[in-house]
Amino acid sequence: LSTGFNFNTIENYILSPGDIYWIKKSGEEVLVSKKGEVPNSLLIKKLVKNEQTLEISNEINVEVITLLEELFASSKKEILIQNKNKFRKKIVEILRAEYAEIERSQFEFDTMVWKVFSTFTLDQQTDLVAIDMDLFRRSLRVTSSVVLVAFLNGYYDEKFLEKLFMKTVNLLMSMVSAETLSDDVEKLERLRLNLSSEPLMREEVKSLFDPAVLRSEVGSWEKIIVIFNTYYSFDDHETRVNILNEVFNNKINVRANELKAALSALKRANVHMDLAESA
Amino acid sequence: LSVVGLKKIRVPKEFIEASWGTFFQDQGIELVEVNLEESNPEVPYQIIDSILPEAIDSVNPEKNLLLNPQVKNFLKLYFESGKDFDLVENFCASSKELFSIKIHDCLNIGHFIDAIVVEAYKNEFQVNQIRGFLNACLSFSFQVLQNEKELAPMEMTFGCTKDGFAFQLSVTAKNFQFDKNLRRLSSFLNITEYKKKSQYTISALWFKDDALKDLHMFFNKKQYVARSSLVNVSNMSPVCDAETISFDPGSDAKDSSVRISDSANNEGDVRISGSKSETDDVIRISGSGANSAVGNMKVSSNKSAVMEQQMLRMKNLLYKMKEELSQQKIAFETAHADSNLSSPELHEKISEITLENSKLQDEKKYLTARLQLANRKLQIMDNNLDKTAEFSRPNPEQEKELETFRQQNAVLAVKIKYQDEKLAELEAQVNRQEEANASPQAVDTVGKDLEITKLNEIKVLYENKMKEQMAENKKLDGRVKVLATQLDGALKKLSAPAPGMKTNENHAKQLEHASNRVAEVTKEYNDKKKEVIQVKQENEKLLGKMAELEKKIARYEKKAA
Repeated sequence: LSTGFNFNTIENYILSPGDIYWIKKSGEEVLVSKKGEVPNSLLIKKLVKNEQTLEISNEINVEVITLLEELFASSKKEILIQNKNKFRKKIVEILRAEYAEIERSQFEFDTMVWKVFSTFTLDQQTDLVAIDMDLFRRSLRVTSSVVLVAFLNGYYDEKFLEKLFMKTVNLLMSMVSAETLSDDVEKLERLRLNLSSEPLMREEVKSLFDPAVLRSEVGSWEKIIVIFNTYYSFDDHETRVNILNEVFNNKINVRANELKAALSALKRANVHMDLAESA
Repeated sequence: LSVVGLKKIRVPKEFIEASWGTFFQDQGIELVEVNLEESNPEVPYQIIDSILPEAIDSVNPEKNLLLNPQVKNFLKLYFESGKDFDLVENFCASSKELFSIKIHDCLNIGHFIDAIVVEAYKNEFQVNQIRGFLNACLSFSFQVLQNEKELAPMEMTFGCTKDGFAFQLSVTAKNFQFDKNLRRLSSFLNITEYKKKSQYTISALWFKDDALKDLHMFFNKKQYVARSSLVNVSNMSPVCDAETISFDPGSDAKDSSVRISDSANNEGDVRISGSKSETDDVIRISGSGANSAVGNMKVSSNKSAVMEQQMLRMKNLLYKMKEELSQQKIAFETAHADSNLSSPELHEKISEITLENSKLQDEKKYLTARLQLANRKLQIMDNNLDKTAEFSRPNPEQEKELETFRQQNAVLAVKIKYQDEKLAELEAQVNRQEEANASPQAVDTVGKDLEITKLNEIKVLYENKMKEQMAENKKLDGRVKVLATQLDGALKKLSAPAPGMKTNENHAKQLEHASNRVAEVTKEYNDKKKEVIQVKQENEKLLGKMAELEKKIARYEKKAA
């Protein structure tokens, strides 16, 4: 059990960063928020205000996330690419050491990317989660992979990456309609596996799974969306290792220039990204 | 060699008749005449699969830059790739490293140009032309982009082989006016317009070979996107159903004798443009390139003589080439005669079978997935069944285990009940306290009780304080009243004529004295008043007694009488 976590920051987490317990005066432990679930921020803040003992266990590494948040924020303030690259170099080093080289979970990775790039308001967050928890988790998984691989592909404008984050989450969450959710998800999974061509599916949803996009003349970020939307299953609830680790160790069985570029960006010890990303 | 690529391209009539037209025709590309005045450039043009000859013989390559093996290979690549042509990926396929750069803003262009030029320098290319091209291309692209609402990042890729340096830039913009000056700054320039997506791809290639330094080819493709574009993300499906190409080799009009008309490029770039007046001249194929390769055949004063010479030479060359090609064609045809005879039927059957096969495979995929799913479900059900079966079997150990489980359950049930009760109690307490205390409190009762007692104490404290305060207030009030009366009295006294001149001090003393006197007088007055009242009361009593006595007396008097 650790008590280093600042429970006042719980609001910044869309999903609970660990198992949060309330230790009553009687010594009884009550699980307030389970890791990976939507945290009960109101109750937690109330308990903190009344100086109750809270403890978090099995939690993600918050220091790494805070560090990356700071570095991205500093980079955002810079205009010249030379200055941005100083931060980029540090960021890539941390990504390599803390995600690519060790088996940190994808959930931790998702939380990090959310904290760095999300500009959703609390209301919007509530709406998103209300659509469907599993679909939201998957969308977050796809989006976080998309945004950081795009970053490794050389997109350097943080505002663009923020937009990409928002756009991708919204896009993925709008693939289903609330009334026919489970039906839709099943259809999407079949579409993803390329098992059938669903005639009823909207064209724009189909193109999110269309491998032809990868060969076409579009921006890399569009290709990256298709790559990861096709990569992550819809009924995959197991905890898996983060995407950078998979890319770094060639565990991902997709041939695409964008993944090669991400790999070489991660591998290069002395970043010469100030020139260009090799693909 | 059978490849998918461009079979037909649209060209003006002069082009077909000109020898450079023949050059393409000899490579298996059919040239279709297009009317220069044709008003609708969007007429979809069918691209058909084509078979290009495996190799094109180079006859006398030093005469014609297009016949240079490097150029020829490159053109072959270009036409084979057809609509999927991606200069950097196709040309640098053998190279280890391709680079990509994303540009979000115009403030960092210089940095990225430097990066590209340095890469070219490291690979021993002439960097001046490349830098010039990049400067012009990027700055004009950003000028175009200034009018766009949302700036989509520009995507650049580049790479090189030992022969050439390739660069490609993709821009998303609605209004794109091509800068013609770019054409002189590279060996090969291709601009592809994806009409419905408002996307433009600019590809440029520089050959390292010094002999090719004057070669400037220009291609312009238009692709019409057939499918609806993706989402609001932006347009994602660039499948094209139509394509036209315009070809404009050798463009430098000033230092070569050849003048090539730009008219077609200005009005839609749909057609191949060639110079109208001198189309039948052979030199123009090689364009300015011929000048350097053949040895500075600059035509300025003796223009026509040199041209004639060149023409003759090229015609001879061409003749030889044609002869050889036709021989090859014959050989090819005889070799494939057998297989071609029954080919239509065979092809049909093959395609039928392939179609069926693919269908079956799809079905198989689907069924396998279903099967896997079903198997998984079955497995889970089996497991469940096993478990229940084990439990239902009378096994002493399991029985025991079951018993312990039951006991645990019972204990747990009790615990749960206890917890429930506690919870209910807590809730009730919370409710009570919330009613009593409008502010939301923690659910912890002990803390709350403590807090309430604390509050009560504070309340008492405050009440006491308030009482004290009230008392003090009253005292103060009294004093104020006294002072007011004193002041009144003093004022009365003061208003009376003062005997002689008095200082302030005396006034104050007098005032004090006066007020004292007033107080005394008032007291005396009050005392007197009280006395008066007492006396009055006694008086009345006495009067009453007197009256009584008088009555008694009166009765006694009657008796006595």
